[in-house]
Amino acid sequence: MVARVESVSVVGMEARPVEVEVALSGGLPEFHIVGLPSVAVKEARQRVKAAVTSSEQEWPQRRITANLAPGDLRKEGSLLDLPLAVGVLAASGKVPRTNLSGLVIVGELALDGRVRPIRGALAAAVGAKQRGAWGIVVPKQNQDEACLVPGIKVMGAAHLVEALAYVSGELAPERNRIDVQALLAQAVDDGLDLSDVNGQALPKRALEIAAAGGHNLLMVGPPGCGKTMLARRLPGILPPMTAEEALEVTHVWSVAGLLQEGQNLVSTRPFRSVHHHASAAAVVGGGSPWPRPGEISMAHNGVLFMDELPLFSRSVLEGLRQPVEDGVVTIARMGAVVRFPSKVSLIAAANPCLCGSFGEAGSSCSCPPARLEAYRSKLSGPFLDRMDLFVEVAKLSESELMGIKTGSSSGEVRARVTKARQMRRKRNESCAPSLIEMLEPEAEVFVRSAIAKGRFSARGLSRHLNVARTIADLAGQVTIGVDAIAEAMQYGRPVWE
Amino acid sequence: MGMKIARIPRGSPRYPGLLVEAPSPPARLFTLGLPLEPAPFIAVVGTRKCTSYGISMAKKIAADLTRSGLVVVSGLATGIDAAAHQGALEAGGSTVAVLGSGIDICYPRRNRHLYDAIKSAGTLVTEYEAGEPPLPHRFPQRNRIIAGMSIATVIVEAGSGGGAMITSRLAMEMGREVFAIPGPAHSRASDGPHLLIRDGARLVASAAQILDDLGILPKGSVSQESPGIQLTIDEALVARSLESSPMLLDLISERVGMPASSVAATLASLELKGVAMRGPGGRFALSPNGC
Repeated sequence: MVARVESVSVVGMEARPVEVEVALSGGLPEFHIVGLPSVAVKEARQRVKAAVTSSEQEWPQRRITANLAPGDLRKEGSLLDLPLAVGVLAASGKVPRTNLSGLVIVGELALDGRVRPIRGALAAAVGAKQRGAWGIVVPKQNQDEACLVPGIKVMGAAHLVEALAYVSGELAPERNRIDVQALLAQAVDDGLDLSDVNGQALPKRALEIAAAGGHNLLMVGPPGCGKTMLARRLPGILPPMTAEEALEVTHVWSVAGLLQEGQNLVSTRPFRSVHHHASAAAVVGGGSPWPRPGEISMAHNGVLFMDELPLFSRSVLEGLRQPVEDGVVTIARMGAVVRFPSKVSLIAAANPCLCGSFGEAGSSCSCPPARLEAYRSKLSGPFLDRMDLFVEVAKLSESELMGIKTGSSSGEVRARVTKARQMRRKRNESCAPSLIEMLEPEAEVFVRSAIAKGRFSARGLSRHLNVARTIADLAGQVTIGVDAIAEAMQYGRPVWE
Repeated sequence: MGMKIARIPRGSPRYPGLLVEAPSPPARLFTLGLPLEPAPFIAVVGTRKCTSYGISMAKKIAADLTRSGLVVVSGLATGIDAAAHQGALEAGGSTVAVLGSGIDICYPRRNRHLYDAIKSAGTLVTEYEAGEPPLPHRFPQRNRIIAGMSIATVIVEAGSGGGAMITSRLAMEMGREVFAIPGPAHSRASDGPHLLIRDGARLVASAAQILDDLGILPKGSVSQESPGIQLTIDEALVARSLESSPMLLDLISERVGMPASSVAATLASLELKGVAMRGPGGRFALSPNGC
């Protein structure tokens, strides 16, 4: 009497197929789970038994052996509760076994038989679709995200009884398709506008360039000058997400368990702010047995904001280097290599010194010179080589605040950014000349004299050229003029050098 | 390497003459690099916590003093000291760095490139045996050598306490001339020079004024302003709106009626031409070197 229930186990971003086999045999009434279950899965025994009995179903008084295949994959998470319960009931003949093939079941059980939400329902639905399942039973609260996957019937169950009704065919799956485009069109603006910030023309321009070219930006300024306020307005000047991008983000959020109940799609670009006490695993991703996405992946297709950059531990900064450059986090574990997407605009902020008041008119910095130097040397470490743009944010005096213009609104900037991005995409599709070849003659003279004066290093040059290319894109120019390269130089080096 | 540490006992003709007259001159000096020149020495010192204004003033004055035949002495510290050495070297002259440690030890280590440059184009001096570590109490000691061997001490930027102020106080006690470069009235980095000016130090704004006060005739022309800087119309427009105290880009952009992006580009090329400089807080000012 063996019953087979199809389910999955979430490994990184993907759902690996898991088959739950349940056999009843003679002997003392016991319940064993074999097949590399992690602690959460082992504990399922108590939950499953309590849930089955409180759903007024009969628990077979025989020796129950559940096997999770494949046997060499470590199974994690509580999403195997529901398939185990269905398996036990199918093995004892309470549920027709014939309906079980081609149906993937996932869900956590409460002791009273309710079905609790899980992480990674979207991944599970994708996995189920890939292996040709006709339907998937998910917790009711995860139904909306699972519906994003076309071509598979999604059944949301709020209770074990409801899940059993779907399995036995008493309940027919509802039709619930989701129109991603329509959801994106309804996306609510976060209400933050660039014109909320007074003055700060230079940092705003740097944000615009960062948005247009996908560059990383470091803002340096005293506390309270508006660095966070500026960074929060970056998602608003990025072009709206495409359906594909939104699905990618939703997938990561689903795996990370970030989706709110009833939220089916992440429709606005994420903005994730990391505290400097966060561990490397929390920022880059990690954990065991299977790694979970870190903040950088949760910020995929959006903005990762790191305030107080020099206070982050070395291991976090080092760990971020590769993901920031490649747009993907790769974590190797025995048995699997897990990849999380991490295409982010990295915005970092730093105080000019430890006490924060260095360089401000009329204020005194109380940092001892040796500590000031140590602080700066940490700021100019190898991580800073990955920063494309540097800009200083001034704390405006009262007289400066009065009579300063607010500048462009987010909508205006977003239009320019979108156009520049289109120009870049078109160029990347065609066979474009190298950046050096795009320099106009006067721009080349400028570069030469900047190198001669030690303002461009060989290493910095390609970064400057990239930024200059973006500036030219924003101006709609095909070649890189002297204006673009000169402006790029303005954001080209740590401010204290 | 081929470099040899020279030992100069007091009484040797190569021992700096003025240092003998100072109180408690060291019994011997160790030097590395070129032999000490007989030329008059002048100390240019200041704080490690300096501003971009201080850096450019120190460079400019050290370069001009060097061009008129003086040898700039300083302490190889980061900030003003390093800028003074650099200015002297860039002007194609020699410079003397007095260390607070053994001659073979570069402190601070990040000034290694400067240490090496002075070793080949100037002179490193110390009173400590090779291998002696840079202990905190040695720096005020070393300052007496800087002040003692120099005809005058120029203080560019300094807090109201600290090494540079010790040097200038020592110079005053020895009866040497002390020159102070003023800064913005509210700048903490200029508290020291302002205090000295109140106490009777000479206020100077350029190397020419120093030479004038010392009664030294400049060897060549003091100010070798880069002849004929060519400015575009935009650059001239932006340059004219700049002031000596740093101001926000927003304000400059409003004054000249150009978008912030163009002003940023124009300021970058003005910086390259030595006309403008970037101050703290993303503000811009006229460079003291230019115009």
